[in-house]
Amino acid sequence: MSHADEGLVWAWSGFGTAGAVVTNTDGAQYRSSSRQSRGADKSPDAGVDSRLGLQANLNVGDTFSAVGQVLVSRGVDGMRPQLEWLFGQASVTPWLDLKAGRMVLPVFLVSDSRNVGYAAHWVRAPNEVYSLFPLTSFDGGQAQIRTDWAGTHFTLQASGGRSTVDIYGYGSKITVDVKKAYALNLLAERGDWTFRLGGVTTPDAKLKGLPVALPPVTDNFLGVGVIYDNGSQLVQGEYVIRRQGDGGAFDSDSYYVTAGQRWGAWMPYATYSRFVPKGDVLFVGSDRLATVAAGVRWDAFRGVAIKAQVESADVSATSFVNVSPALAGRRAKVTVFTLLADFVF
Amino acid sequence: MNKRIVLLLAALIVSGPASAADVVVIVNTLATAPTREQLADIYLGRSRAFTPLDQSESRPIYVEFYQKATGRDLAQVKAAWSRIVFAGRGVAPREMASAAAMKAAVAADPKAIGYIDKADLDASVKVALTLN
Repeated sequence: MSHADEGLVWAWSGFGTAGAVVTNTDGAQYRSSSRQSRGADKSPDAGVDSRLGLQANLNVGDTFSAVGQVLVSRGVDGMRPQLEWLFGQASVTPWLDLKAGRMVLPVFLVSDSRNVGYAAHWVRAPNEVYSLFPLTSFDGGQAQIRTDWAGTHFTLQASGGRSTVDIYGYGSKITVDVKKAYALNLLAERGDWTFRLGGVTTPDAKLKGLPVALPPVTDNFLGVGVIYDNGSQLVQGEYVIRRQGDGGAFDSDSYYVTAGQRWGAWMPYATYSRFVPKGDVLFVGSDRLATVAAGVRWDAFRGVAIKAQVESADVSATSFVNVSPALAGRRAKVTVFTLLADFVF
Repeated sequence: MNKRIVLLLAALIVSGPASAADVVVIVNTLATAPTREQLADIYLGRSRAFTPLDQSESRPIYVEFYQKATGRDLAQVKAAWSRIVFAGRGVAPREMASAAAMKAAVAADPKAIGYIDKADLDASVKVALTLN
């Protein structure tokens, strides 16, 4: 819905997810983010994926605009609203946008639409990759350059700022404090193809609240991603390398590949995702972690997609919380069922 | 006018409401027409070469236009734009109340692009592409 008045155009819109997750064990709880302090077990849990986002866009002429987004989702302290984004943008020239405020840190291929279930075929982005970096937004500035060359649309974003988020691990709240974060993100879009190459470095990342105090580290992420979507077939993959310099405790390589086929309103899909520790990983119990998932998206009503997914996941801190001692020591597989509805309005 | 209504009724009887007449993509008389590839990029939010204007998604022409121009159905177009809008990367095409409003907006802005039923075409705008 929008309203125009004297060159001021505002619009509001929203998105959300309502659903539940249940698993075949009471020995661990499945979660969709390292922010969550509890999750689903044999008792269905509606808080894992359910969320509501409200967004307001304000345009002042053709040059200035502002975007604000409030997101209600489960974090360390339960279902809470947070100011996800609030930024002002100046489109200085057709090829240059300057932004300031709170905005998304482009760490992964679909970082900027991760919460918008309706925009994706799956029930959620794979934890093996997307749980690596719990910070979703940052406070700072961003320059975005757009150019077309040989029929391909290029977008380059350079971002800098700071961010803080509370996650949950080792039975307590841990604060991830990133005083400086710098990101470069390059997107190339051509027809049915999207390519992404991006890197993030956080030179002074601190974890507060760990049982053992760790010195600040330089946390680096390098990722490549590709999407092919011709309207009928979808193939998407991403590979992310995380390195923390000397003997990084959390070094890892992570990747996933997902594919789907549309038949009218129905789209069955499958996803394989994997986390391979490359350092002295503190937060996982076993050496290699993978999830195999299969599901279906059904575009049931205008603006509403219903999805069901079943997955077999290795128990790890990326996808699970409150792991019982019986499961923590061994490689355990858990079957996870998800049924939800994604909507936009 | 009566003749048009008769023709419209005849078309409805023959082909049903979903398959209407040709859809024409219109631009300002001063503008250079985009290619088919550029048209899909503009209406899926990948290109800012033009400012796209939209019809209401409840009209048959909306579904027909997007199917022909982008190969996507209503839900897929909605998903594509929600990926852009809720990422704060842009705003969805502005919805025009009528074909007349669409033509007026395109006639007033060299960067605007729109689409109408061929039957609604007049000299105020230029045909960039015919989708059939």
